[in-house]
Formats: sequence, structure tokens, C-alpha cells
Amino acid sequence: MGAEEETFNRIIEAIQNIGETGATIDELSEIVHLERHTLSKYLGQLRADGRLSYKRIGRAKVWFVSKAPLQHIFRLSEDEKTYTEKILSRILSDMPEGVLVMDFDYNILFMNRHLITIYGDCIGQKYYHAIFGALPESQSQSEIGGIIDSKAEEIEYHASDKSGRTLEIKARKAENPDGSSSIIVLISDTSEKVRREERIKHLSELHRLLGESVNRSYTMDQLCSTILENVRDVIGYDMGDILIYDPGTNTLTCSAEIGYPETEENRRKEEVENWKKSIVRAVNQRRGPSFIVFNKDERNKDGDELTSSSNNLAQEYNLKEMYVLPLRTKGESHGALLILTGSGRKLSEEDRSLIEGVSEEIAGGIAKIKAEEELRVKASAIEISINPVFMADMAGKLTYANPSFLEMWAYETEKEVLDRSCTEFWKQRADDDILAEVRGKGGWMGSLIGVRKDGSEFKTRLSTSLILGTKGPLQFVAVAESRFASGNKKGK
Amino acid sequence: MTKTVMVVDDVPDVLTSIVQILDANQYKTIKAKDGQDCLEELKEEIPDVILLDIMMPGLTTQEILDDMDRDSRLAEVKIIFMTAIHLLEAEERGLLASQRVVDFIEKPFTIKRMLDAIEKNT
Repeated sequence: MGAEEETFNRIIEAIQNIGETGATIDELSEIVHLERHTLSKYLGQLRADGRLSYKRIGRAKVWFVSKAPLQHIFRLSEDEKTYTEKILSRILSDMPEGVLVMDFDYNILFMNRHLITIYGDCIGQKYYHAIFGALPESQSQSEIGGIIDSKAEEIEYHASDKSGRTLEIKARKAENPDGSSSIIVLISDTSEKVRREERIKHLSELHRLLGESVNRSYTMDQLCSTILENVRDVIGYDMGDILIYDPGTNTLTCSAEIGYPETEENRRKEEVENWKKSIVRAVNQRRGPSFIVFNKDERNKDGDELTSSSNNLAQEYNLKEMYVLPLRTKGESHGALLILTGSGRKLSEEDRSLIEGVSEEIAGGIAKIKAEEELRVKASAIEISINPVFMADMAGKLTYANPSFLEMWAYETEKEVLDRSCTEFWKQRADDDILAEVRGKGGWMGSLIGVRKDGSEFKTRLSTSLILGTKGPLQFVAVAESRFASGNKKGK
Repeated sequence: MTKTVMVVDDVPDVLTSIVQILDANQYKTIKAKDGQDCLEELKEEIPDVILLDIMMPGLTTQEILDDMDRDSRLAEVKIIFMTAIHLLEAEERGLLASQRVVDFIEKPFTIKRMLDAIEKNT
């Protein structure tokens, strides 16, 4: 240790011995045996190092050992700072992240301006209490405890602060010039990042779900309930509905709802349903989304269908906001998504645009299920038709046969006929001619002799047509006439 | 009298199949692989009806219709749309507003449906 450092230590020790009242330059001069002007020079250097600070009492300065040497920089006026202090204080103040220094007893020695703005000036307070509002045995302490117990030189973890912010915390041990140690902690508020990640996760889930709706046999209600749950995870609302529009009957039906309080009264339920339908009808006519913020003083005023029904609904559930999003695929309305918030929740513009962004996809999912349901209904018509119907690929192999076909050709199950060539099911005409004509002219109609499973024959009339898809010929469909299927069973 | 049908589709298999089927059904055919080709062919020969795919690269359907409207020789030419898009979407795009659009066939379709539409409009 050099002579100068030795003198510094003597001065600091003298101030510490005098105690919390601090020491004047005259008192120190007597203890450390230094001339006043020499001592003044050393005190100035120690202050510049941040190791000492002073309070001015009248014309005299009372010197203290600085408990928070870095914080000292920020407490000085610009005039009092050295050039280095000015640079350092500006760098620390402008940092967009939190910087905190604490001792091994969790006492906060320094906080930069970023942290002071969030938590207030907590110098001298315990780290875990100031940031986390927690008790010493809390997890936040134990994480940092790893450095204090010399188990780690550096740690990185996430924790929620006392206001629920998600913090990313990086801490490491730092040796001080006097041989003691401190912990430097970098604190970033990652709440928004985490929230965004959560949103992306839920949105991906929503996209995945909508994609899957193509392949999975969801019912409409299942799909709508899952969509409502996923949307709630993304934007957090209180109550929500999906109403589906049926163009055939020009009616709206509630396919799924979420978050409503239970009510046993049927008449009340019906009334609420009617308000919702009125709202959706009105919004669908406008073709764009509608966002309404309810003001208690303005409720119950007479207005159009949308206003009066919205106000009724708002009064019923003490709503603050309502967002109604028409669900449309290009050119077609499928219903609407109704999102309601009560006390404490607000839908930001970002929330609304997020959902608007996936509305067409939601509508697409609904449209697909509607189309599937419609196809299933049409397919049932073919299933119960008294006319034999079959489909075949371009090579002439059966891909579908309805029950009437199986009955007329005397087969038990569809499996027996699928993948077999048409040529096996009739006689007389050269079957290739029929197929060639279907391929060449796009269809064929005429009489032929059918051959049953047991070899018996019957007369029938067949009408076939080629089906053309977006990429070319797909297959052909054929319908036989049942009334020609008379007699001629072998052995009868 | 033999009727002439122009088939416009950018998918070669669809174009060839339809032309082959129409030929077999005693129609005279003109092939065009896209909107530009369609307009070029119309300078040479005027069909009774055009089977027009409305999802092709290059010229939009509206551009084809507008160009045809500017040519008085084509005033009587009718158009049947063949498309994978929904009728309502075409309606919303304003594609059905033209008087010359006489039918709309959604893909996939049966050849019988197509032949009936041509028969009805020629």
C-alpha cells in the first residue's frame, strides 16, 4: 500500500471513529496530524473518488464516509461534479436498463435513474424488499444468495417484481478497490417482451387450430369454443360469443359463449340473445368492426338498433367496452365475434388489430366446417338415393359406391367393390369404349347389362359424367337407373 | 351451324381436356392460355362464347372484360366463368356486373354442367 493510500485509510478510519455526526476538517486535522491545507487536498481526492461526501453546515463542511459512493454522483449539483463524475453520471443516467449495486447484506448502494424512475430512491434499502416487496427468505434473495455464498460468480434469472413486472436480472460479483465486494445487478423490464411472446404463442395456437380445423372433424360449437378460449388468452377479455349466420334461413345462432355469469331465467337469456343478435346484425350491415366504449351517463339514450341493444347489454353486465368483429370470408358473411369487457379490462388498439388480423382466418375455419356440414348433408342424399351411384378414378377403378349400388349388384360391403375396375360390373358393351367415351366426350349415357356378384345379369341404364377440377380431370360419376334392374337372376 | 367456343385457362391439363371434349361434342374451339392470349386470339376470330378461368396470372378478369367492351366486334360474345373461387366472392369483386357474363361454373364441375351451360347460351 502506498503512502497516499495509507493516509486515505487513516482519514476514513478517523471519520468512522467519530461516528454518524461526521467530522469537520479541524477535528480530522487533529486526529490524523495533517496540516489543514494538506488534509483539504486529500479530502477533495477522496470525495472525487466517491469514498467521502460532505454536508455544508453554515460555512463549515462536515465529512462522512460515503455509504453509496456511486449514488453520491447523482446527488451533487452539476457545478460540484468533477469532469469524470459528469461523464459517468450521464452514462449511467441515460442507460435504458436498470443498474443497481448492492453490498453483501443486500443493501442497495446505487440505483441508476432508470430504476429510480420505476421504484423511487431506494438507496440504503434491502434489495429484495425494494424491488420485490419480499421477505428475506424469498426466492429473489436466494438467487442472489448464490453469489453471496460464493456458489456463483454470475447469475441470470427471471422474476416478477412487486408490481407484477417480469424482470430479467443479471448479477455478478465485483471487487471494490478497498478489497470488499459488491454485487452489480442489471435489471431489464421484459414484461412487454414476455407478454408479446405469450401473445405470439397463443396466436400460433390459434393459427394452428384454424389450420387443423380443415383436417379435424370439429363440430362448429367445438371450433368456436376453442377459438373464444384462445382469443381470450391472447387479448384477455371478460365475456365473448361467436354467432353464426345461416344464409339459408337468414338467422343468427349463438355457437359458443364464454365468461357469462350463469342465469337460470330463460326469458332473461332469450332477451340477452336477442340483443346480441341485433348488435351482430347491425354490425354485419356496416361490414366493418365496431368498437364501443360505454359511458354510464350516456346509457339508455334512444338510438339505432346497435346503440340501444349495446346499451342494454352494457347495463346487464356492467360493460366498459364492446368489440364486434364481423366474420367474413371474401364475399360471404359467417357471423361475428363479440368481445365484451367489464371493470378493470381494456382492449387496446393493438388487441383489436390483432384479432382483426386473424378474423378472416377464423371466418375461413368456420366456412370450412359449414361447407363440410353442407357436404355431409348432400352426401347423405346420395347415400339414401334409390338410384345406384358410383364414382371411379380416371383409370376406371371404383372410389365410391352408394348402398343402392351395393344392393343392386348384390354386394354386402363397399370394401368388396372399391378399387375394382368398372369392367367387372357390366357386360355386353366393350367397357373400354364407355371409359374412352367418358374421357373423350366428357360423358356417356346408355343401356348396358349389369353383372351381379353371383354372376346373374340385369338390364340397367347408366348416365356418367367426367368431373373436372382445378388441375384437370379428377374422376367420373355415374348414376344407374333402378327401374331397369328387373329379373334375369341366374338360376331363377 | 357449328358454334365456336374459346377456352381460356392457364392450367394445360384443364385447357386440353376441355378443348378435346368440346371438339368431340362438335364444337369448334379456340385455345388461349391466359388473358393476353385470349385478347390476341379475339383479334383473329370471334367465338360465340368464351369459357374463362378467372384466376390466371397476367391480365385480371376485369382488364379482359374492359378490353372486350372497347371492341364493338365483340358485343355479342358471351362469357361463362369457370373458377375455383366462390360465386359470392366474384360478386363482391364486381365480376358478375358485366352483361356478357351469362353463367358461373365453380370447379370442380361435371362436364354435363359445362355442356348444358354452353348449349343454353349459344
